[in-house]
Amino acid sequence: MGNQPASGAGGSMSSRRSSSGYHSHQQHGAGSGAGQSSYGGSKPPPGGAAPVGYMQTHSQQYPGAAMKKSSSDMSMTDLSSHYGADANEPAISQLDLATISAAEEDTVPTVFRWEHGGRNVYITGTFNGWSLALAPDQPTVADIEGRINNFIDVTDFKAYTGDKEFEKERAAADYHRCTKSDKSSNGEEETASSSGKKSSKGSDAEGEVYGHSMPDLDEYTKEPPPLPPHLRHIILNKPPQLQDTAALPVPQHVALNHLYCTAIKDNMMVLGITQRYKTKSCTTVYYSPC
Amino acid sequence: MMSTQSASAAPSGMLREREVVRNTGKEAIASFLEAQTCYSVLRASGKVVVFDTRIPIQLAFYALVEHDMQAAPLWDPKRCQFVGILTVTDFIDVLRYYRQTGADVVTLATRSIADILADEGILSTVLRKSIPRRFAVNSAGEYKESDQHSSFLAIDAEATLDRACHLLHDQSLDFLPVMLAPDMRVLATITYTCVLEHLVNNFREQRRLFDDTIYDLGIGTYGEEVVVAYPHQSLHEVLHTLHMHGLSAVPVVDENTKKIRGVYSRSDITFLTKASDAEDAVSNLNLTMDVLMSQQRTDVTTPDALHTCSTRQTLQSVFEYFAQVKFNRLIVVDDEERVVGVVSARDLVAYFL
Repeated sequence: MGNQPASGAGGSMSSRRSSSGYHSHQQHGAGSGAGQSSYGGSKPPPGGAAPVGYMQTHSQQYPGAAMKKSSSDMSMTDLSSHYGADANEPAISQLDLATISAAEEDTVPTVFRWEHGGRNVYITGTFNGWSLALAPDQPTVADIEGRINNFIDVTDFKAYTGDKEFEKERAAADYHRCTKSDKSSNGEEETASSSGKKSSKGSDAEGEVYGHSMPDLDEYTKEPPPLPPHLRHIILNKPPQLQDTAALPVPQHVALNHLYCTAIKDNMMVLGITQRYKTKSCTTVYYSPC
Repeated sequence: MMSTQSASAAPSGMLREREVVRNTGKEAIASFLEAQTCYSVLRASGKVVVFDTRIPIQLAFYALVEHDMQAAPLWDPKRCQFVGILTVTDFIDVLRYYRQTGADVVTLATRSIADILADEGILSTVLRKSIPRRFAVNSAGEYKESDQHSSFLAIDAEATLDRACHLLHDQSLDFLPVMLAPDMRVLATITYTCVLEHLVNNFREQRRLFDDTIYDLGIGTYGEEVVVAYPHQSLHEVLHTLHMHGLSAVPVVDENTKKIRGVYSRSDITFLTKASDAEDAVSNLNLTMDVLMSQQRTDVTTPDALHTCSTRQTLQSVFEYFAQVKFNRLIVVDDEERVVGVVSARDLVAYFL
């Protein structure tokens, strides 16, 4: 790790991090391979956009990385591939700085304050795919009242702008993830393949929900479930009492709150429902046009 | 005619004692009505027919006949609230309007309830009751102007019977919907007969407080005020008379002997059920009482059937009779079967208010 050109590595790493929207504190705290490997291995990538960032790094610059060297240092793989692909180092730093400033403009400082005790406090949301984001290894600061506060940078957090936009972005992310996992299947880059497996799992899970496959014909043409036998005793169909035509037999409790309807006749629909009030029941017959 | 001989002949001390008994009886029933809620009048399992105001009035009417119901609350789907009550007699009144104005009855088939109720011509001429009502009653039983239920007069299920009776009486209603306001549900529509039925079935009194005759107590209408109909009169004429006097029924008496022949109720729909279509129904308004009386159903005894009593009958015995046969009214006759008065369920309840 220490063999890397210190200024270049640290600079590009931190800027890349920042642009991909992870925790801003790593600009200062990182540079150490241990921190990065723990991030890459134990923690899931923070949200949809971050893996895309990784993948882009790999897929675009993969040939370069492969040519130059196959890194033995897992933790530094991203960095080295990135670093190695771009020959012109000052150009990178310029680009990255621009990204940083752009990212910082988008940043909205948000204070999450937890005042209810407990040992571990997590923050989760769309910015990390609703996975548990452990706050404690974030930089902390004590406010004037002595409370410990964490800072989290959610630069790449994309506000929900409606289903179409959101779905498009997610589809793009999924597509990239898939291609990434395909490419990394040759085992060249451990980090890439491990994160690739994770993301491909995610897309599979989503694929089950939003599929294009037609349901079986039997699924929607089969007979509906049979009517429970006790619902066949419809008190409205019982012969009326001649003395008091508004009186009905006392319904079974299982028949309450079920909607009855007649076949549409004369463009009129008749609905019936029996409801209970205290110990008495009332059947309302509603005549409505259709 | 029948004077209050028995009362005037009695010594003054006796008179005062009788007055005390009468008042005790009144108070006993008043406190009974005060203690009971509208909920207690409800059937163990009841049916309420509700009409969307958009449905044709003719179909609504046939639905009422099919259910053999007298009244149905009307629901306005646009305003999402109940807006009134449609009764069998309303439809008869609409038919009367068509006959009076000579309008084409065929158009009636296409007219919705909302359309009819918005027709000023019909409202002002034949529908005596003002359909849009301005007051609603809250559960506390106070009148209050309410925007939400401005046009629907109903009573909360938890309100006292006393309150319901006053509402029926003060607003001169025939039907009062019992409502579950938070749910916007009508649980039932109650009438004087319902209240009276609950009273005679549940009121228990050991003392003999109701031994005065209904005539002495002044319950009912007697003498010259009694409106009667004759067998040769047309239905249209009779319905008009009922409308003008605000009555629900009229005794039909023989012109020569003055003997009671029957009673005709406004809500009697036999002539309509015999009709093949609306046009036929309107022409049936020309039928005479004689013909209609012969068509009346005899297979079932409705509360509108003819029940008679004499002026000598005590309030106690009238209650007992009501417990046996539920009636909407009694025709008071003398020994010669001549009509001397009418006692309605309304009169019986109103006496205690």
